[in-house]
This record gives sequence, C-alpha cells and structure tokens, in this order.
Amino acid sequence: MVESKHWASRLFVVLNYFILGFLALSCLIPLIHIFAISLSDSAAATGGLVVLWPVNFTLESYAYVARRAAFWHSMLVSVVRVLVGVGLNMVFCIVCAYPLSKEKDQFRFRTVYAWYFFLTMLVSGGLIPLYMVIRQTGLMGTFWALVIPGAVPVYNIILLLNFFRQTPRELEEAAIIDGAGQWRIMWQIFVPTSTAALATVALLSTVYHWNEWFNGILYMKTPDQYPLQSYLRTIVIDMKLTNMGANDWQALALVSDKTVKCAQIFLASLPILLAYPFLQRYFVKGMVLGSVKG
Amino acid sequence: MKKLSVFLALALALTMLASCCLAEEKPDPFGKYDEPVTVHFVRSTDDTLDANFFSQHPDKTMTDNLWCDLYRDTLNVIVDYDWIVKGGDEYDQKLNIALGVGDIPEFVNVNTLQLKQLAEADLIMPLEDIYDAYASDFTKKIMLDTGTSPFDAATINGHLYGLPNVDSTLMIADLLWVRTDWLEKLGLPIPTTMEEVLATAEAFAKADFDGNGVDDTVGMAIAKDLWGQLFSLRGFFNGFQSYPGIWVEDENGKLVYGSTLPGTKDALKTLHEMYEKGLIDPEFGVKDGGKVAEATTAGKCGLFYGAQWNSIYPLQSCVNLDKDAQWRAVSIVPATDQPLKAQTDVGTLHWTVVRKDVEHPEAVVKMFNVFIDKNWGPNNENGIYYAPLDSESIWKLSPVVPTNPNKNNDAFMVLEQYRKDGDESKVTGEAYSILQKLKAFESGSEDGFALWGWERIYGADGAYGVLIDYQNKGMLQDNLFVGAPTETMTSRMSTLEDLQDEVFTKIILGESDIDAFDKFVDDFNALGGKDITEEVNEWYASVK
Repeated sequence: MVESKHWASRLFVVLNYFILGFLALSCLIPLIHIFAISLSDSAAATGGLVVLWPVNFTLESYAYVARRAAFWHSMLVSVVRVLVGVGLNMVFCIVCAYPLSKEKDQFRFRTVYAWYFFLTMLVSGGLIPLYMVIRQTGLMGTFWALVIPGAVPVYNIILLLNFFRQTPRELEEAAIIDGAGQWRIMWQIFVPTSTAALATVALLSTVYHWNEWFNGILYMKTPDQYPLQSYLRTIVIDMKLTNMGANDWQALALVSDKTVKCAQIFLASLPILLAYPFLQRYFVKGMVLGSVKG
Repeated sequence: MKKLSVFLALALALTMLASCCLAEEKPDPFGKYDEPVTVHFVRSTDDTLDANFFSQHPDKTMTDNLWCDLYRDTLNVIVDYDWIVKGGDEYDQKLNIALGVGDIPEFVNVNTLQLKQLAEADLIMPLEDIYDAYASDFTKKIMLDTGTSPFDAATINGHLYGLPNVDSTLMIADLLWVRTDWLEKLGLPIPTTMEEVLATAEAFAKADFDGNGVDDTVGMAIAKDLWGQLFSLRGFFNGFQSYPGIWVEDENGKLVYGSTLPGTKDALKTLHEMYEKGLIDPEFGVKDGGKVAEATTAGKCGLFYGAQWNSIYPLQSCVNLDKDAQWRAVSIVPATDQPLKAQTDVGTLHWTVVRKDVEHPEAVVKMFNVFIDKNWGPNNENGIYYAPLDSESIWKLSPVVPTNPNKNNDAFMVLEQYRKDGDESKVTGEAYSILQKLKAFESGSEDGFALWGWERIYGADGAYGVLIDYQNKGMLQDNLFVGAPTETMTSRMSTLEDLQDEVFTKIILGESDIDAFDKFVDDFNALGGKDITEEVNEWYASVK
C-alpha cells in the first residue's frame, strides 16, 4: 500500500515537473528565439537559420536601434503613459471600489451604482461612438486620449471590491471608534492591508497600458506621438503581397530586416519582464493575518 | 412686361460682366496665389521615409521639407496635415473610421470603394471641369499614359470625383525567377516552355545542392496568398490562358472573370501533378510570403513566379548568404500554342478627392502639375526632388504622388543606350541614380554587393528588359474592368475570392478532385458572380 502510494506520488511529481516545465519552456523559447535572431547576421536570420543560438554573432541590430530616435521616443511615450495611466487607474479603482464594497446599511444605493459600473462591461458604445466622444471632447491628438478613455477599469474595480469585502469589518469599526473618517479608513486601513490585490490590479493595468496599440494609431495626430506598441505594430506587421502598390516593395525590403525587428521586440518586452519581480514582493499574502484577534 | 425686360437686360449685363471677368482670369496651371492658401490633407507614412530621409535630416518634418517649400514658393500653397498615420493598412482603418463619423479631410487620398461611398453620400465635389481647366498639357499626357482606366475608376454618373495618383500597370506583371547557378550545375537551359519549367522544377527538387543529404528543396515556390507579387501563381496560370482575378474579353467581346476560364482547370491540374511529384511544398497553404522567402533565402528553392522587384527582396538576402547564388528573371512560359500574355492590373491605388466646401479645389490640380513637372517635365530636377542617391524616398514627402508610369521603362531604355554607346551625358534623373548603383555593384566592393538586386532589375539581362519585351510584343493582358466596384462586387467579391482560393488550394493539394473546379464555376455564378458579370458588362458597354 505504502509502495503504491509512493509510486503514484512519484509519478505525480514527475508529471508535474514535466507539464510545468513544458509550459515554462513554451513561454521562454519564443523569447530566446527572438533574442537569438536579434544577435545574428541579417542574411542568416532572413534565411531562417537561427533557432536558439545566434548565427554569425553581431550587435549590429542593437547599434542600429540605438540610433533610431523614433524607437526611443515611443518608448518614452509608453513609459509616461504607464506612469500616468496606471496612476489614474489606481486612484479611480480605489475610490470606486471602496464605497461599493460597503454593505447596504452603510451605503444605501450600493447596488444601483454597482450595476451602473457593471453595465459598461456588458455593453460598450463601440468604435465609432468612442471616436466621436474623443473628437468632441478635444482629446484627439493629445496624450490624454491614451489614458482618459480607460481611466476607470471596471474589471479591476470588481476585483478590488471583492478583496475589500474580505477585510474584517471589525477593523473598520475599531477605526471608527478611534475617530477615523471614511477617507482615513480607506487610505490608512483598507489600502495598506490590500497590497496583494492592489499589486494585481496595478500589474493588470500596467500590462494593458504597455501593450495597447490601437488607440495610439487611432487617436494620435502624428506617428511621433505613438506609444511603443503602436510603433512596433507598424514594423512587425506582415505586408499583404496581394494588394501592394508598385512602390511598396521598398518598404517591404526595409521592414524585412528581421534582426532589427527582433531587437526592437526584445527591448520592448524587457521593461514588462522587469516589472514582474518588483511587483512580486507585494503578492505576499497574510497582511490581514494577526490584525484581528478573536 | 417692362419689369421683365429690365430684369432680362440686367441679367444679360451681369452675365457679360461675369464672363468678361472669367475670361480675364484664364486658369494658369502654375499660377501663384496672391494670398497663401492652406490645404489640409491627411496621409500615411512609412519606414522608407524615416530611414532614407528623416534620419539624415532630423530638423525636417512632414510639413517642413523641400516639397512643402516648393509648393509654397511656386504656388503659395501651404501644406498641412490633419493627421498622419504610419502604415498603409492603419491609414485605411483610421480613414474609414474618420469618414464614418463624418470627419472628412479637405483633401484626401482614397481607394475606389471609399471614393464611391463619398461620392454617393454627396460629400466630395466633381472635379472634371477644374481638372480640364487647370491641368497642364504635360500633366494630362502623363496621367493618360496607362490609358483612361485611372479616370474611369473614379468616374461616377459621368462625373470625375478623384484625381488618380497614377502608377505603372506594367510593373506588376509576373516574371519567372530562376536560379541560374543551379541551371548551370545541372546543365539545363533557361526554361522557355511549360514542359521545361516542369522539368527544371523536377531537377531542382531532386538535386541536393547543399549536400546535406536531406530532400528539402522544392521545385517551385508558392505562398498561401497565391496571387501576390512574390511566389505568385498568376504567371503560371497565364501560360494556360487563364487570368485569375481580372476581367478579360471572351470570344463574343463580353467580359468574363479570368479565374473561371477553361485554362484555369488545366493549370490547376498541372499544379496538382506537380504536387504529387513532390515539386510543391505540401505546407504552402499555411506559409505566407515571409516564410517562403526564408526558405528561398536559405537555398531551398530556385524557381518561382513574381514581380520585377523580387531581386531586391528577398533574393538579395539569398546571395548575401551564398555568394555563388545567381538569379535571373525571364519571361513567363506558354503551356499551349495560343498566344502568351502576362496579366496586369490597374496600378493606381489612390485617388485624391476634395471635400465639397473647399474654397480652392484647383490648388490640388496645380500641385499635380508641379509634382509631375518637377520630376519628369522638360526642365525636371528629378535628381533633387524624386530620388537623389542619399535619400531615395524623398518624393513621398509630397501629399500627392502621381507617378510617371513609364519612368522605369524610360530609365531602363536610357541605360540600354548607355551600354551601347557609353555616352554618360544622356543619363540623367532617375537613370543617373540607378547607373551609380550599377557602377557600385560592378566595382566589386562589399557595399556594392548590396546592390546586386538593382543590377538584376536594370542590368543588361535585367528584369526590366523582359517587361519591356512584354510591352513591345503585345504580350500584356490588362484588366478590362477598371470602373468603381459595382454594387454586388462590393458586397460579394471578397467572399467569392475566398471561395476561389480555398477551392484552388484544395485541388492543388488533392483534397478535392479536379472536377471541383466546375463546381466552383457554378458556385461562383450562383453566389453573385453572375450578377457581377452583368454589372461589369453594363459598365463595359458604357465606356466602349
């Protein structure tokens, strides 16, 4: 009996390692592949000879990207967008989620408001109405068109709302007895005890703002306002060979430089990769643990 | 009665006054405005401009450069952009949304479908009178160099709604690209018939040139989008008197869809036989041009149909990787004893339209005049404004880009003459830029080797020679339907094209019997093709 259990658990461990290892590799290999191409000779890359190790190692593509002002400029736009966008997201998220997390006896129209927010997740105006709103509010062509339309992320609000509700009510009652108002309770009790949830929400909106590209193309006035992903989009997209103009091949010949493409993709994914470990430490749970004895 | 006659007299006097004033203001194609006129365009940009111009001139912008200076100095026209977007698809996407919300730019370059919608919504103005009055004689000549088709496509109910940014039709005809170093190794001639093409493909597929012992060479490369300008099937089908995707005359002088012609069946049958013999990559249905280009670069393929520029991309990478590789573009080959024709299509992709309330619509016609005159007129400064050696894409800085459709042919002819008599003084303009490239290549330097692709196009046995041969021998099959898309075409054509590609791919791969082609023709007609054919013929009768 002991033997078979031993055997089964060993199989479980082996399978576990195998499946998780496979998953990890399938995430890692594309990245390594792109990194290898970016360090290879252009002709070898175009010939599809590079797999996981650079062929004819060269740093030429990185030297080229370093000189490419457009790349760094859009990188800057993206960084500012993430800082401002995530900042706005967090503030709106917290101030919306906190009252909505209250019970009916504390906040009478809670359900009405919750539905009000929730409805926007189910139905949206669509592309054209949104474009009209952006245009008529004068956001068109400004940086704010990238951060204001998505400033209130309802999905994140619901996440945070549910987390707030798990915070013991006794904490709030204790604070009220000590004479704290709702603002103080929100900022000094709820926010510090919810770092895990806040980190999740921050990560979600960072990823959103870093990866979103369509708004950049749609709402910006000129390409030098593009955030990084809109910029990347214009260099990595496959050109359709069927409806090309007589002179489009020039762009094709230029864009086809795979090594430069890959260098830019790799550099673009670096910041978001680096963001994970820093947010990781907030995922430590148990902040609430020990705050209520009973 | 008296009142009426006074009124009539007054009206007459006014008319005379008006006509005398009009007579005084005879339209001047290059007339400079007294007050600055600002024209608002929207536009797309691309990497070639960034790489070839803006990177060398960081102080220049889209609205501050030599083309904008030229329009300001010669016409007193100030060019401004409401928005600029990067990429052609992105431009179409954004423009469609902007037009959808009624955000119509003053001047805008649109495709035929957008033009038709704008004209039908009565948002843009007819331009035929303005064009007649203000276009210079030279502009009118250049604009008609590919026939009236660019104008027909923009004419709705007898009114011209857009000025064609004309471009070459010849440049997109298919050629057969062959790896001549492989031919030499195997002692094969350059293929001139379909049988020889099949034999060459078979020999290439069987040979193991890289000596890796793996059977990994394909006979003839094709990509999943079948009719592109690279790894195409058009040239192959043309050998069977089949003209996929364009409209041609049948024996009764009626237009028919080229994909439904009987020759198509023979072409598909031959392709399936090639597939059976292992001459075609069984995975072609999922490989896009870029993927096939990788294989070609890596020396896995030595034969394919494509356009004249293919030597620059992707074949340049192939020779960079393998210095012994050599390619050459030759004429497509006949499979029957019928006359051989290579298909072309309207090269003009964009028409400049003018919003209804614009005060100076003629400004754009004057810009067309200036653009054409500066680049190809008798006193042109092509070497500065079109394609100077250090910044080849400079012409794209102009918001309107009507191209002299014959410019590349002319350049090739000039170079041919130079090769005969060695007189460099006659080599000017774009031909001069190209000659410098050819010389750099011939110098044997490493930088020069990067221009191998240019030599393959404009050199002595270059691709352009074959295209000019097509033209001189009357070997071109134009698309005979060049009007704005008809009603059923707008709603059905893309579905029908998808159906066609799916059926053709299945037949080649043997998933469907060859008789599936007959079913396709029936389906095509039943699903809207019949209506489209009727509409197309109605149009054809109206322009004949």
